[in-house]
Amino acid sequence: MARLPAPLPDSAKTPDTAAPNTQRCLIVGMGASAGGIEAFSRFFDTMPPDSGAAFIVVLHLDPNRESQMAQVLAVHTAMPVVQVVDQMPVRPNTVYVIAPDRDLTVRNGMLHLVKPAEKRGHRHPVDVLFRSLAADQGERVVAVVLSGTGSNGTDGLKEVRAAGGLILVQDPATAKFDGMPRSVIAAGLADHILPPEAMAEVLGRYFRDEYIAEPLGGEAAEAGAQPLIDQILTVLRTRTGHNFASYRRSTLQRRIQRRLSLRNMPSLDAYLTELRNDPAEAPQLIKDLLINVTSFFRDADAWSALCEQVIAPMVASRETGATIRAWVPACSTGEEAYTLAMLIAEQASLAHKSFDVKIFATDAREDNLHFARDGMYPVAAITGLDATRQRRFFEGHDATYRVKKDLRAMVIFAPQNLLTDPPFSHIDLITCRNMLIYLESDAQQGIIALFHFALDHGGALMLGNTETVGRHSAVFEQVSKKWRIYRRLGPTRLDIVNFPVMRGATPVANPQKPSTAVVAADMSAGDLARRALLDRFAPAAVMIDAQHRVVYFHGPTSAYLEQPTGEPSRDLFAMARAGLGVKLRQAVREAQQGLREVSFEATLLHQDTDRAVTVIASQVAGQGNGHLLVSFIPANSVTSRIALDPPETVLHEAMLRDELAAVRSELQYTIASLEATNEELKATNEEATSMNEELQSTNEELETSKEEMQSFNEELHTVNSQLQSNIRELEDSTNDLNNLLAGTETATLFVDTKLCIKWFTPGTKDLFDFMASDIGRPLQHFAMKFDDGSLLTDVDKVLQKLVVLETEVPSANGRWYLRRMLPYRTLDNRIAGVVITFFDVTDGKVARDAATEARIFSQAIVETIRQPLVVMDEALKIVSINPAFEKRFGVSEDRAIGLSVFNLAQGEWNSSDLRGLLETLILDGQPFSDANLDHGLPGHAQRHLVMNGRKLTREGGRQSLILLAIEDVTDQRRSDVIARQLAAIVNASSDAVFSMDLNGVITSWNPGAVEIFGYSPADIIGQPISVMNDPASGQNPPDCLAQFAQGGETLHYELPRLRKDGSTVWVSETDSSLRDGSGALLGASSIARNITDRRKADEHREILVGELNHRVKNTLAIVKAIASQTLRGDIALPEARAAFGERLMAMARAHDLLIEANWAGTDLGSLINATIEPHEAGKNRFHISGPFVALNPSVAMTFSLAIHELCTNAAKYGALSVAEGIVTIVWTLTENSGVPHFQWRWLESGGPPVTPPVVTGFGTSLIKRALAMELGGTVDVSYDISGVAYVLDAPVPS
Amino acid sequence: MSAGPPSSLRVLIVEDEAIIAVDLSDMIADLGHVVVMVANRLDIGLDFARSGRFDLAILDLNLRGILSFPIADVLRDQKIPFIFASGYGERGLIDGFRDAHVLTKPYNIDALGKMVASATQ
Repeated sequence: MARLPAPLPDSAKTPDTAAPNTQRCLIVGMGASAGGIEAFSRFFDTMPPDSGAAFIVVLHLDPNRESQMAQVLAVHTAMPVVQVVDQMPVRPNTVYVIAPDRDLTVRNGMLHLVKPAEKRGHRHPVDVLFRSLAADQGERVVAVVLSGTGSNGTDGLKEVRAAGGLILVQDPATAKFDGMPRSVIAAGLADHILPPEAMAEVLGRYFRDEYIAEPLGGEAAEAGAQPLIDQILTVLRTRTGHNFASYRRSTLQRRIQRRLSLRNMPSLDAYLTELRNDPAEAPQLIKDLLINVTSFFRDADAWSALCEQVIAPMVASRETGATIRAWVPACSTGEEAYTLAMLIAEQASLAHKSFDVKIFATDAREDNLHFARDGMYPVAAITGLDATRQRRFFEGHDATYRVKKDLRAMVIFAPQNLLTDPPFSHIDLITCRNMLIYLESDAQQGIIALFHFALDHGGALMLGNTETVGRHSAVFEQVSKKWRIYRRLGPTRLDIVNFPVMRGATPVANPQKPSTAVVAADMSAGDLARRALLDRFAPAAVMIDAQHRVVYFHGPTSAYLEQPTGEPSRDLFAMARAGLGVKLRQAVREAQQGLREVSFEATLLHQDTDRAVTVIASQVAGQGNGHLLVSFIPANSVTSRIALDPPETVLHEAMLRDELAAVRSELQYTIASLEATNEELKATNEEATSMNEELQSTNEELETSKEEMQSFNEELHTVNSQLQSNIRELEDSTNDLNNLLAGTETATLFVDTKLCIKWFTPGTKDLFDFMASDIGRPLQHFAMKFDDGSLLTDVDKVLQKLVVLETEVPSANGRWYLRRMLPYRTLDNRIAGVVITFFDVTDGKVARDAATEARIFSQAIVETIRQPLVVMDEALKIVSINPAFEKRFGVSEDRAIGLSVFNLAQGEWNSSDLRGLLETLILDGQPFSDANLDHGLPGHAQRHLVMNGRKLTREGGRQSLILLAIEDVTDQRRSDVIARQLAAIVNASSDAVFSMDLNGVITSWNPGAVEIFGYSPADIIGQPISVMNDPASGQNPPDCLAQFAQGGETLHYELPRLRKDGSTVWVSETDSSLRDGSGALLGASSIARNITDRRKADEHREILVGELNHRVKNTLAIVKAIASQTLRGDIALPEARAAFGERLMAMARAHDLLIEANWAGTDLGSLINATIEPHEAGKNRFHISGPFVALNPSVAMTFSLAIHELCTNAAKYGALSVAEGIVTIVWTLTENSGVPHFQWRWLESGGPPVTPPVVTGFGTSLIKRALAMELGGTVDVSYDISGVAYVLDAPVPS
Repeated sequence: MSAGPPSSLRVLIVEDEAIIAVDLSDMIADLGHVVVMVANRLDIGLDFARSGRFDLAILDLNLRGILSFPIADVLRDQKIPFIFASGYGERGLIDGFRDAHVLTKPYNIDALGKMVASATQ
């Protein structure tokens, strides 16, 4: 909160504070945002690296990214460029760049980084830097504002300005974004407005300047400068009326020195001359001298203290409708006054009261007052306010906010110089912060006294934090020591007020009065004595004015005067007691009429006592306004005065009388002078009030003129909108015209009488290379894209003769134009030039060409077409025939022309049908199509012709023509018959016949296919052939279409296909390609035969073959076994051959038996009978008995072989070798303890005696091993002498 | 190997044709081996096969219409070598036995001897 420049110039004079200043380098704070990098680059390009200054660069950086600024700037300067880290000391000839997402401040020559308090988008890092620089470096600050948007920097610069620093601003014309520079310039803060590259020079000069180089000037310099400073102040006073006599000399001198430095002035002398000569300099200097640093709620705590301790009690103690008067002297740009207004308004609304609030805000600077009255503040100024206040007291206007009207109405801004102008009075609250510090001590005290005067009793005064009421502490009560809030004590002390006189209408001509008191002397002893004497000896008296109103009572007048009943009255006659009235009236009249003194005696009746009184009415000495003094002297005292009349007493009395007279005159003088003072004060008050009125009326006038301006503005708006609508109409017309001309595509060229181009349409682009800027240039300067040598001469001709010229010209790109020229006539029939139009007539030519082409085209068709065509006239005489006709009918066109069609080809066409058709055609123009005509050419078969006829009606009344087209459909009909026959075959076929297109989609389907596949034509036509694939079979048909596309013609295969009902049908399928005449593939046709039955038969056969193979192999294995068994041991070959043959025969017989039973097995009895049949040498040799026992083929085979061997053995060696021998074969089925048992016995008897064989024969082996194994039983062989016996015990054969 | 010379094998014959079984038994004996069992039915063969008391089995593939693969399964589990005898030759085999030893009927002792040697290698 740098409410005062730091370091304070006074304190800085001491050597110990001056020392660090000389050591510390100068710091240049630089701020920018958008477009800043370029501006910085330009700045540093020209900035010498040895300036001795440090540069701190602040701009808006993306908080989330590393900054490349340092690297970027390093390219542009030889100085080291560093990104700032916290606690970094500032060194000369170095560039410091702010780090992202940080605020940069300078404290005690060290750089500090802090996290910004405001959220992103509301930060003002440049303001932060400038403020800290102003606080830390004071007047040594140099601030530079470069390109950027918004107002960042402006607020901080106010403090730089207050500290006395130098402010450089980039010339907005050179800035990429001029928001920040303009904001600074608008705030009146810029010392120099320069392009960045010009700043180095100014800075260099400034660095070398005394103001900076020798920071605060020496004592000697100051001493010598004093008279010059005084002269400067005098010039200011005479020029502007501003009196700086009371300002601190040191401050003034520094400010003037700064001005010198800015203006590059070598000395105060030179500056004084400049000041005298340049009328613009004085206001500039005033601006610098009248420091204004303020903001809304500056020192918020101070304001809350004020609110709490002064405003709130004040609001609480007053009723609605009461007046609150406050005064804000030196209000600068009004922030303090508005702050106060806001506080009062808030408190009032909190208390639900409303007051007549008048805040007098005064300042010496008119420009400040203008600004304050407008109440327009940049966004930055109000960002410190909380949102509620922003909403309640401000309204937004783009980048600025305006104080709302109700708040502005509370504040009256008026020009007033505290030092020279009279104060306000009856004020409840004065806030005057940080103004006194700039003034000399005496002036400060004078102002405090003035405030005491201005304040109402109990009124409050608020000063800046470092200011006090000084030696006037006796008349002020301290309310808050910390925040310097005081309350007025005691009565108004005119004696302490150095009351400034009114400036009146000619303020400049009335410099400040010398500070001498008008009524300054303390009351003297003489006065005291006089007053005592008066009290003691003077009689009761009243002074009255010319209207007889008592203006002064002296002494005990109650004996003579009393207030009558009713309203209080000052009328002397009304107050006179009974007995006094008439005489008093007369005496007063007489005294007024010029008698110096009139006396009378009267008797008063008072409380039943008669009292005599002498009344003296006398004119008041030295007063011409008719005032009278009326004295009441009790009669006894007069009596005593008369009674006591000894000579010494007389002498004494005379002495007393003289003295009394003197006292009286003194009294009169005092009274007069008191009255005069009173009058003066009254006048002042009146004047102040009237001035207020005047101010208010001025304000109102301003409002009025503002309203006038607004209404004028409205008018301008209206006019503007009218103009705009006119322009719009013109634009519409122009658009219409342009579109019209563009739409016609007519090339139109307007030239004036000097052959300069006036206007042209876009259509001319094919003819000239005109551009919009060519308007006004001479036509002959342009090359023509068409061949027209006479263009210019023709224009001249038209201008001279005012004729219309037309000619056709070819263009370079092969187009033809009709060039037409006619004079350009204005509305007033003046010839202003020539209009040249170019019509593209190429299209006509194109149309003719197209017609020719169409004729050639159609002729070619007629000649090429295969259908014979003949054209006849209405008499049916041939007009023209085409080559097809010539070829078909074997007649040349030459010969045919002129013949009647009916005579053609030996009159074959002379049929009544054709004649009728043609006649109808001729009569009503009805064309006929597909008329059949059968005729036979001589020596040829009957031909079938189809004819189409058209009547060709011709324009221009010419005879119509008949076109007859003939088609010979004989071959086609033959094909139709064949196709029908084929279709019948297909339909009748029991095989499936169907076809498919190139996509495999079925296109035809015969009844055979319906039978085989179950699909009706409606089901399947349009479906892909693949619906009939049987995926379960794993067999898909070959892609016949693909093979046909490769050139294949037919394909044969067998496969299962799926029927509609889901069952499988095996088909033998033959696919054939379908091709058109040129051989291009159209699809495929298929013939499929149902081979399901054949497939079943085949499968059965395969099973049979397998079974047969098994049996044959098995049989062979048995044969092999028999063979190897037969050949085992020592056996003679012939014997073996016979035995083997017989064994095979036995086997064959068993086979026969089994085959008879279809290999299902046989029964034991049949088997035995069949086996023994060849061996039955005689009847009854075998006795066979046994029950039915079924045998399976294998058992039957083994049994059969075994029996055959037994028979052979019996025939060779046993019972059958003799005639009487008998073989008994018996078998039984018994049950052996519940298990069915089978016993078979072979018993021989009647044979030769038995000898057991040496070796086991095949038969025995077969029975004992094979049969036993086969039946799972045992075989017992006994070689009984009477015969061999074989017994087989086994389970019942299964 | 309690009977016969060290090289002799104990052989199981499964064959439904008794005559062939007899002849085969003789041939096995001629080759110096011992037939420990002749089974003419699947159940009998299967029972004996599970006993595992033999070194080699010769299985007729078709036992009166019933195929002998179940016995082969048991033998393979026991890692006892076996030879199929079949009129179909190798064509009669089912999946899983395609690489089995097969003797095509009819066969002689030479073929049998080679096959036995091959199966018991």
